[in-house]
Amino acid sequence: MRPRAYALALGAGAALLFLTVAATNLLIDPQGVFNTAVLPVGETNTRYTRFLDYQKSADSYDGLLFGSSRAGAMPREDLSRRTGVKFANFAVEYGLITDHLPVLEYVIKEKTAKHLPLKTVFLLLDLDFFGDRPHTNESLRFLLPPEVNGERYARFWWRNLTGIQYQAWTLAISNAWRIRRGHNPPATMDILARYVAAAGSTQAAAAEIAELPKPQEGNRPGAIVRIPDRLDFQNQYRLLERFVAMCRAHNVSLIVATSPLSREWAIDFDPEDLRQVADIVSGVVPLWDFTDPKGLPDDPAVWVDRWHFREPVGRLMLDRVFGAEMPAGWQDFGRLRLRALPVI
Amino acid sequence: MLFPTPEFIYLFLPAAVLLHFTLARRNGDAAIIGTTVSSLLFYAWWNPPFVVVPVLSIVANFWLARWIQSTQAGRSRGLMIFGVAADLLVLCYFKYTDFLFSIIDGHAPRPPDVPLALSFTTFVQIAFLVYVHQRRSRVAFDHYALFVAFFPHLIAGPIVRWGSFGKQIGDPERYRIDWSNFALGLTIFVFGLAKKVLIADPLSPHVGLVFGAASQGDPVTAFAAWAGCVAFSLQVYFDFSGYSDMAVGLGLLFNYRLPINFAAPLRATSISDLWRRWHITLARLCRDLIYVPLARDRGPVRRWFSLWFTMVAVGVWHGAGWTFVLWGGFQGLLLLINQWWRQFRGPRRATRLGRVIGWVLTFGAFAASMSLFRAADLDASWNLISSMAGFGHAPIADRHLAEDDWMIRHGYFVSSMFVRTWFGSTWTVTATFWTLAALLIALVLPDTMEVTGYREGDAQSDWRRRIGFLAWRPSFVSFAAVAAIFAVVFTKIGQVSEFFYFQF
Repeated sequence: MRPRAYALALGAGAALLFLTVAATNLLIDPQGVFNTAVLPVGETNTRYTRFLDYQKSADSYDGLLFGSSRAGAMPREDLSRRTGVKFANFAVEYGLITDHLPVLEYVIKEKTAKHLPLKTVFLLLDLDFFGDRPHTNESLRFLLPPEVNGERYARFWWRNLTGIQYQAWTLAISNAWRIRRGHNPPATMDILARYVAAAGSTQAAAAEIAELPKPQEGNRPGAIVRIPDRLDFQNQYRLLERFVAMCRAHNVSLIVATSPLSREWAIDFDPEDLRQVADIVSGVVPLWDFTDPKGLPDDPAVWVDRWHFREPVGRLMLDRVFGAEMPAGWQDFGRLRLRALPVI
Repeated sequence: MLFPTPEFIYLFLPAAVLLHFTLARRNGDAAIIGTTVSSLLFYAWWNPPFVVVPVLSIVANFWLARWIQSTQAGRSRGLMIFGVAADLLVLCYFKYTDFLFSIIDGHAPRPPDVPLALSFTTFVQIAFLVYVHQRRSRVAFDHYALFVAFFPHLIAGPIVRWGSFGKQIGDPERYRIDWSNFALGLTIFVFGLAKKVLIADPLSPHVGLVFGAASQGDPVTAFAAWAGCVAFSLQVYFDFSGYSDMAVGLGLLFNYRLPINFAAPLRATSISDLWRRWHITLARLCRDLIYVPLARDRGPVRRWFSLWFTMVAVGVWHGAGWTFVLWGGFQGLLLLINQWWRQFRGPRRATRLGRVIGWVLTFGAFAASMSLFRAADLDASWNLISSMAGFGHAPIADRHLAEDDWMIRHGYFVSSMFVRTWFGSTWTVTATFWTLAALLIALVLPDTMEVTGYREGDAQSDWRRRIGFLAWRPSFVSFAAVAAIFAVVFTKIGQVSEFFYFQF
């Protein structure tokens, strides 16, 4: 092979790879960035899409709902009705304080510049993920929007154009294939729906879920890293302090609650460990603690899967927070923790 | 802008090469100016205001070189010394001021905010001033500007010398596309990319855990401490030699032959051999500019001191901190011990067993010294060194990393007790696997320069092995292999961490 042919073939191969990736990203638009999606996308960059939704009518919102995908089950209309505030939804996949604080800073800055009020912030914290390595900006799916990140839009689009996103591509292609065969694509963040899609029918999905390992007392693995020992715990604690301080400095009413945990999931954690973290957090801000799994039945009506609760639970959480009467069997659900001394 | 990013590979590099050869059709000087401008753009990508530093430095050094060249010998020496001192002063101002004040008032030194690659450009220009003083040669400004600013070597070397690279810039034959160089350059570039992206980067998080724990005073087992240091030695080697390979490859795309910087140093069986093969261009520069002037025509004690002092200077060049001073001093001590051993032993050729022992001692000492090189401060180094010696305060850790849980739960390879006893909470089975794989690659597989047969600025030791059919030449097989490696690398580019040597 002549050196010229060798060099040109290598260059052409590299260019072909690049063009293939760019074309695939443009066609599939896995993160919903280009608005060119030819195929139905399964999961987009919720950090970006939520922000776009907010921006469409930014001035009309005077409240913010922050949380992970679990916060998707918090009924926003109900929250708005009880507080008289219109909430923008910032429930994002694997959302941690590292995602919420930059958005809060952006919104407060923007509202201050426009002399518009931000009245209330509802923050749903996942104590079981507190201190975990944050996904924020880790990959394209978790990129914060350029306005929040301080990144140039050209750079943001370039990254989305050139990133290799196997999972998102394959998910979009499999969705398209299912639609072609008459099945609906799974809704974002609804894992039960994903089971249904994968299994082909609700019954099959239910059977599949039933086969998942059930919690057994005394089967604690004991190998899990304690939550306060997690590598990012101290950082997230400091960010939470900043989050709270920022709300106080701008007279924003802040409601902080923790996500309820299913028994199946909570068994992986030492209850004392969770309690300690709740104490640490309540040292920063009054905390509505719904973590204790004893108050919740293992009913599929309550849980989408072992991690996500359903909307009725969200309504009950709001009932508890806003002092409504709790239905029978739910009296032990949630408690307010006030100013425990930080143990950090 | 990093080399392993889509914007560099698909935007900047093609544009720079195209500009160079388009302008070269007009004349060589136009190409030189064009590539100098694109190199400064490359530099400005990080922090545009800081581009002023190399620009001013280039202008000042060129002006001084002109003065040196046109003046009498006695005065030219004074000017040269002034120029070297001024360059070092600028370097000191940006890099060592806080460290020097910390010695006086005892505060903990902060990491300095150094303009990118200042240590590299300073040394390149110091060597240039010495060269001009010795040879009294005439230099054109555009040639000199490209010599310093040429983007492949600008950020992290290899450190180029005017005697070789300057001549190439002035050679009009180099301003036509040479497809042989192009093919070779692309191949070397891809190998360098693979070293960085596929080997060095996966080691980085594992290394970070061990050194992070040591810096916080958390318990680190003896095994984890040694493994962390070995992994870090491998990470630095693959990271930096990968960068150097990429620089050489990029240079070839422009028809310039940059010197090789690494000659499979981790295979060395003595510390002297290792330092002939590790960061070759820096070691040679320090030999020529520090060791030779200090040791010339002197007795053995002065020579030993000069050798030790040169290594301390190498340490200080790497960073402002006592850890770097001690690291350099330790390397100097190892070299002195090696010299003494060679004198004691005489010219006999080492046996196979002797070479194995030599390798274990050399690599072990080098890896151990990395506890100083990578650690945040002396306390962290001390924590790590005492852990390596078995004095860490947790022979059995109360926990381990969740990363190993899956294997433990499924009964693969390890039990929880094994992991807690040996790895503690800073090391994992995965980390062990990656480290062993990287070590095997460093020791067994041929190096980029062995495969491609590139010899510019080769090491002063007989390090190349016969590699038979693995020898590269433009063929369908090598095209398929290199294209396959690039395809794998391509899936990772954009997720890479910064080159370790950028901070120097």
